[in-house]
Amino acid sequence: MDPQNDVRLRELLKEWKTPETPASLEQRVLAGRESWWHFLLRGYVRVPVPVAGAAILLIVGGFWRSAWLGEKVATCVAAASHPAAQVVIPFAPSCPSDSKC
Amino acid sequence: MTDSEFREVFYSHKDVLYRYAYRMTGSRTGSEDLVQECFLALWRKPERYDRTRGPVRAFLFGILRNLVLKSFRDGRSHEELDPDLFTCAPLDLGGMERADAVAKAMEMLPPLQREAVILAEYEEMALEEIARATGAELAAVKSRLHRGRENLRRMLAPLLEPRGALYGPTE
Repeated sequence: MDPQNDVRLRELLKEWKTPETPASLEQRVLAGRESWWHFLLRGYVRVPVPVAGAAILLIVGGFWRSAWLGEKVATCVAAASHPAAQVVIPFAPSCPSDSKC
Repeated sequence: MTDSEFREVFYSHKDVLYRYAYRMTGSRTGSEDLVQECFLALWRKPERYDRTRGPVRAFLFGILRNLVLKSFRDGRSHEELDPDLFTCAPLDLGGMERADAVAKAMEMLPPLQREAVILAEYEEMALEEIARATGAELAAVKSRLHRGRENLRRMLAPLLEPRGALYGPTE
């Protein structure tokens, strides 16, 4: 191994600089230690798009279903409170001519 | 751990941890994620840090190192983190800036060789310190560092030629 080569390698490696530590890291770390109630009030979570889409579909579907069921219930209630007009038919059993009724 | 103690630890060590994560992963956002996870691990379970076993920087470094290597493993075997017979071919440096060439060459190194070079060349740690920080034998650290440097010399050979060597002395 050529010692000069080692020195040149070391000098070359030093030319690769790293970026400054991002300021956002401070926010993410120091603010990331909130208490649970603080998180519930002000926190946010990252949700993958497919999960968000499925949740929206479930919510919309739930609203639609409850609205549909609500209509059915309303219909049944209306039917129960306003029964159709009743026709009274006197009970008159038909007797055979040769029997005593 | 009190809030002020944690803040002091954060401000004291965030830069060195970020530099290590960036040089290992080459990704700004990835590095930020990993360093955040590292500090939050300390905050959530401060009892895991035992002052009698060493400075907090070494503790944080151990957490970060595990996170970085875990991100590399991703189903690969441990041997692939430092394959014995791995030899880097010279890079095609055409038109590349010197700093970019170095970054590319470092990226090509196996993770454990890259780590040894980073800690020795950039963080200027002694071999014994590197062995302690990485949990490796001293001989293994020497071997990784030697092979890492050899691979870098091979990849960056055109940039390591003495100035004027390609064209001969001028009269």
